[in-house]
Amino acid sequence: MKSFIVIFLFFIQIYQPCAREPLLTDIVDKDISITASFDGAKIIIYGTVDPKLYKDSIIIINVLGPSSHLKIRKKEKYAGIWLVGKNEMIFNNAPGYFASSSNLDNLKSIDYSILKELNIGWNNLIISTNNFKNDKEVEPYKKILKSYYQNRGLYQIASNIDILGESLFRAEFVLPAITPTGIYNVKSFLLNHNGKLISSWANSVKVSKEGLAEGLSDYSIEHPFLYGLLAALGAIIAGYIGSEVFRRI
Amino acid sequence: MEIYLPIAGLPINFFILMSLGLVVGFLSGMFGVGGGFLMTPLLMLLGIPPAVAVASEANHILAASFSGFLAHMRRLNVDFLMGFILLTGGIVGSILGVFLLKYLLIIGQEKIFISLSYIIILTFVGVWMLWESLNTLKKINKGKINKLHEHIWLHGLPFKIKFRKSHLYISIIPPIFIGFVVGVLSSIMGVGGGFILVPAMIYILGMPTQVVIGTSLLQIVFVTSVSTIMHSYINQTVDVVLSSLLLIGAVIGAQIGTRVMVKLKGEQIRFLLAIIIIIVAVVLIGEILVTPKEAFIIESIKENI
Repeated sequence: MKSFIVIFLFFIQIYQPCAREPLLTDIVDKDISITASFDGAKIIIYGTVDPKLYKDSIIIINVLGPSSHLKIRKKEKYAGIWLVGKNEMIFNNAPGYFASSSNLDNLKSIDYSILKELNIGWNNLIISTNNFKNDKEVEPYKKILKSYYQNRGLYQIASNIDILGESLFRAEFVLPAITPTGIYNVKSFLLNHNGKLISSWANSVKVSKEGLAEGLSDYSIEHPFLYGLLAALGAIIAGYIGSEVFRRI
Repeated sequence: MEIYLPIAGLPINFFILMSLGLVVGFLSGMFGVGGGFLMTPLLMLLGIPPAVAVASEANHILAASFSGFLAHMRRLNVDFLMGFILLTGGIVGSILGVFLLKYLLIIGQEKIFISLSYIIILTFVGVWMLWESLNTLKKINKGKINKLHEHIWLHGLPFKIKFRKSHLYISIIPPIFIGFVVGVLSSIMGVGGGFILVPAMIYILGMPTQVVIGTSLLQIVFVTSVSTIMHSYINQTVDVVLSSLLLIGAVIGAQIGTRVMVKLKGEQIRFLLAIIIIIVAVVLIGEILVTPKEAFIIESIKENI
């Protein structure tokens, strides 16, 4: 970890003179692998801001997980019985993970239209639906998704960007064990104290299955019939072994 | 000890899965039921996606029921002829069940149909079985000898054959019909159908309880083999790491269940099974009456429809 900071600072030293990027970020571990003992992970981000702009500036980092198609149905009570309702909402590109962090306690001081323009925060996240419904109809389902994610650690809002020195900052995002696999987009924004965008920077992290977990899930998709056949055969063999072992004791 | 499940996409405790497998295996060996209806909700409670829970459960039950089946076969408690006749009806029924499910999905009433029909069947079967087994136990205490089985009009239908193992000489129409109904139910509900099959063989066909359990397991072995392959082929939802962890407990549990079962009398087994069926029915009733913690269902779908 320490060596990462050293390399990162070195990289900034040689980088800054030629380009003068006001905001730069980098991620410690860009490849997170899910192995048989996976129990969650962390995305650690280091960044630097042009020292001249550093005072009073606002840093916001958004992490969006790989998106997928989700079908949401509400449960409703009919005559005292809980049943799944008829209405459903299909989200085409709902991110599987959503986290946002900043160096402010809250983003209330920032103009709403700017947040909306930059898609910062859950409310400004655009999730497309193919039911062609208006915002009023979509909103309750977005709320459902948010609470679903919140309960599983897939939605995190924090103000935990640590200022480490003159212009260096650090942020950390926790990925729960059930985090989806794919590319995570990390977008960093630098705003001045009036909430005007000065600069932005994008990184990405890849979360993928590895080893046995990768092999099994790949095989189940590439050879679904054989996978099923082997699964059934395995179960029969296990049943046979169990019965043979017990016969002898 | 946590182990990551590759298809379900989450880590889970090794010992929890072992003990769940053990309990279901025990039920399977003892009563000839798959136990999917107890297990699937428990897996979902642990956070496993419903589609993965149902499919991996089929694979797990296959191991438990095959283990139990072999143990019963060694004790000559399987009526193969009856089993294959039930299966013939079962295959036709399960194909028809798939189409029926499709129709119910189109009219959008599948949930109410499935849960209500299952609750009604289980409650009825459970209560009746409890009443019958208690009565039989009382009669035996008073020293009355009961008949091998009641002869009802169904048995007088044409196409009679001799089922040596079951001590029966009955028409093949009722077994085919029972197999058919169980096939339809197992397609629609995604269960092996043991809960329905066992009471039906005892009360409608009049088979001895001991033989019923082994024969039911034979049917469950076939049904779960097919559904493991189909779930994997169509949905890729069988998590072999999950089912392997479950089946370690299951094969052991099934053997213990079989050993306990041979020590019990038919009516004692029926009494215990009746209680389990009633518990399942109560749980299912609770499920639709109690306000859920999360009043919604979120499913990941492959394509935008």
